[in-house]
Amino acid sequence: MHKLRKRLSEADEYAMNSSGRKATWILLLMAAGAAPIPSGAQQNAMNAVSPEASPEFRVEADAPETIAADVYSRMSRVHGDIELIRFVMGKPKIEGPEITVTGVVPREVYFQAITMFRKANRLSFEQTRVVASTPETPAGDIDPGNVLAVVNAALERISHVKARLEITTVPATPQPDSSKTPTDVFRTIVQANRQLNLLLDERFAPSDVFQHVTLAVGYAARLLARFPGDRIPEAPELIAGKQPRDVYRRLVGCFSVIRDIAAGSGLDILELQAGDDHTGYVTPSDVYDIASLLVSELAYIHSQLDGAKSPRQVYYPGRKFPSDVDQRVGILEAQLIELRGLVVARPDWLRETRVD
Amino acid sequence: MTESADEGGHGAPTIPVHFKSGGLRRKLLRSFLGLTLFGLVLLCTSLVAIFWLRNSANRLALQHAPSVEAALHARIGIQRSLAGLRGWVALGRSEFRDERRAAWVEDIQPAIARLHDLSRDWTDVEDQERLAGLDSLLADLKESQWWVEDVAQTEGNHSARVILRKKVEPIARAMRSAIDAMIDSGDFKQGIDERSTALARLSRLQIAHMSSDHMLSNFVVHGDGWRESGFHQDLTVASQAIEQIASNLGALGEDQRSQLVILQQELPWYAHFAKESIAARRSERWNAAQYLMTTETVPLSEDLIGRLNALSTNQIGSMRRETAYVDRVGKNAVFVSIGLIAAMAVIAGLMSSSRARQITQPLSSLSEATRELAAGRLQNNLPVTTDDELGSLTQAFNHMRVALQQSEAKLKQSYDALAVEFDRAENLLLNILPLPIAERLKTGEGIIADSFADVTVLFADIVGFTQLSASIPPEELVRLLDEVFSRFDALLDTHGLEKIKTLGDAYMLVGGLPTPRPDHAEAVAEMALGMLQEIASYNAQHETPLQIRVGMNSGPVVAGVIGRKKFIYDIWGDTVNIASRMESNGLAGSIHVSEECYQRLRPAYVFEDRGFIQVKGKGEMRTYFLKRRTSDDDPGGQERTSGRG
Repeated sequence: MHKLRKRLSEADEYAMNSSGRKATWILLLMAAGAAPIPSGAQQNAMNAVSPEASPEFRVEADAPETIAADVYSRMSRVHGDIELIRFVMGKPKIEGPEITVTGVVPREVYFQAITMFRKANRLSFEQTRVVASTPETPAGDIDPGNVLAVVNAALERISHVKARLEITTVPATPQPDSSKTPTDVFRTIVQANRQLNLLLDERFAPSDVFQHVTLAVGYAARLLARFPGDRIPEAPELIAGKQPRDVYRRLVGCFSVIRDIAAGSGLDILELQAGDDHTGYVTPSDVYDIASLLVSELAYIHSQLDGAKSPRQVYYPGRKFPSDVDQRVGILEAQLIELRGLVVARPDWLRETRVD
Repeated sequence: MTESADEGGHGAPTIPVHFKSGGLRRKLLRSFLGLTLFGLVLLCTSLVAIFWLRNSANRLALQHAPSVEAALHARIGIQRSLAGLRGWVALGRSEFRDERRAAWVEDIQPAIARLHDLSRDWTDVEDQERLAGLDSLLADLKESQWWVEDVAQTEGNHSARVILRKKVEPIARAMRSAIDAMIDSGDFKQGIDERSTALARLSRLQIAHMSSDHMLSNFVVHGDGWRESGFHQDLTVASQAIEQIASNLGALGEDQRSQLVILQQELPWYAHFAKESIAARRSERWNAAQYLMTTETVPLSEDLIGRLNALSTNQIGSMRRETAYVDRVGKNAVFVSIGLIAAMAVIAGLMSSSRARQITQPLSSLSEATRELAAGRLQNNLPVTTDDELGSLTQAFNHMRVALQQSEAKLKQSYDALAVEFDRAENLLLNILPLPIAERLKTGEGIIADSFADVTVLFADIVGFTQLSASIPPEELVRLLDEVFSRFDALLDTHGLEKIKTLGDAYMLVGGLPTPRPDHAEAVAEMALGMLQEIASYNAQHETPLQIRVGMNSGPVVAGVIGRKKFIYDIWGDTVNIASRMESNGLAGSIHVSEECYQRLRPAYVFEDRGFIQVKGKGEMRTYFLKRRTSDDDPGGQERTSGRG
């Protein structure tokens, strides 16, 4: 008992000092024999506290250069694992057409993969209580190798769930198809995201979208800070009865404005098409995905600003309805339209040096 | 100025009317314009001072004071917005949120816009830069407030609560469900004692878990009731209870064992996330909005308020400095104006005096010269010193002087000539008329007819003149008469007698008029004797045989001037007729006198009594021949009369 108390204290201290090692004391507690933990759960806890990816999901430094085909091949494994879990959990399969995008670059794939990681992390918490920190966005240009690292991190979360559910089947991983492009990878990650959402007890809700849109508002405010005037306009009137598809459509419209801003600034971003045939099946998770895409593009533009401050931290907003999200998207929309007008007047704004 | 006057010539001198310097008009104009210009300078100076003072007053009234007011307004707005935000963060009442937003709309934005309007006239670069910096800071503040307001009343504002709700509570629910399921289950495998022991342990676990959970919730939500040792003790009790229950698995049924596994799995995670939640609650960022407000919004507000204070302080300083400066300049302006007015008075006086002297000096010279000219003392031209009307006037005066002197000379010549002519005419008149008569005629007296009671009339006539005139040329005859009569005239003057007229070779004179004289008879007698001597002298000189007859009579006559043209002074009366008869009845070379004449001349003269002779129209009269003066014969002066009879 004395040993257990001592190890608990040490674990507390350790957990408080390092978020990457938050669960270490639990491991110590369990290792001390305080409880006969089953091997599966113990293994999950072990994985949860490990700051490094397990060898299976580690991208070796001396590995040959990763290409989109490699990531696509890895995503096949992700889809296989998700399908196994879905089957065991008895969750529904996703419906509706895939999102139509073209001209995707690894950067955009990366942020969609981050979204996938978050969903996998939430699934992992719900099923195993094991959580991990979101991978840090690498400095500089993002390549398929960075995307693969995030995909592996998400796959690791999924593997914990598999282990908890005692799923031992390992799906076959196809050989990389060199014809696959980042756009193909993007689409398959989006599909994985949609399916992951259906596996969650607490699915991605309007509040998550709201939080993400608020993050986009923060990015837009940082961009508008390069110009005189207000950065966050008054919120439009709240219109009750909005549906996720309404928010989705509005976000797609915002994405179009971001494309204009990027084009006006000399940047390239993907082309997104979402017709009514797609938006008919929209869930809050889909809205979250598109919001993530918007955030990724705004983050990209923001990264081009010299000396720009980081966007503000956003907080869990509590329960929100699609109408609340729609109202917040209205703020973002107004910001983006304002920014588009300003960029037209000052197309070299990204190259103007300034420290906020 | 061009001197083109012809002083000696006859043509009119040319006086310039156009002047290189513009003439007196331009000088006067310059003089007046000079004074006016100086006055205008004074007025302009005053106007500049007035406008400067007005602008300064305006700047004070319309720029600095409103700037200070706007800065204060903005500061109040920032404080109001901050107060509203604090109220919203603390109480979550919408009126505080509305107050914050109203502060921006009603106070801050209008005040800053006003400051921008006013800043166009600011001269202080520091304030301009300060205001420019305010815009960016205000945008930062507004955005910061937005974020504080946005997060303040959300669940995420308290991250500890989120951890509690999202992570701890699901685990706690699962644990409670597992404990409840184990207690409620009747699946105990062993006897009543073991069952009681297991239930007691489960109860202890349940109580310890509920206690820790309650303490955790209370601390995370309300921030109080936290006892570190108590929480750890509850966790330890719970852990011990789980260990003890697990140590006797044989007492548990299958379902209870599976619930125990859940408890074994969840308790460490509960402890983990509880610690995470506690750490978040203890963090300085436990209230995100409060933290953001404290670390960003308030410092930004203070920075802005500091800058606005600095701006208003600077504006107040500028206002005070300008007030003092305006006051100083205002006083100086009064003194300067007084000085300028005094200077203007002095300069105007000097300029006027100078100009007046310039203008009047030639006029004075001209006036003096005119007096000199009038007095006839001006002999030289006045110097022409100015190229203007006065110079022209001086030049004209000089020409006038010359012309006047020339005219005077001509007039004098004419006057002299006229005087000569007058004298000649006078002499001629006097040759015709006696001086008094002539004087009376000149005075305009109309008819002159005077009676003289006693005069002596003489007639002389050249004897044989008719024959003589036929024998010699007329010119010579005239020359003869002229010389003879001229000699008579000279005698006439000698004796003071009055020649009446000549008629052919007859010569008529009278003594005793027009100015009566008592010795008129003696004078005429002397004339007659002299006439005889002159004839004798003429004859001797020219070897001619001329002879004259002389007749004399004394008595009253009427003398006067008759006619209006070729008038003569003549005498009428019987005395004249008798004198004429005395001549015509006389003898060549003799002086034939009447009784009346004889009576007046005796005894001073020697007579020869002719006796009675027949006189036409008179009858018989006793006449005498005057021979000589008695004194020529007798120094005693005894009268002698020789007679025929």
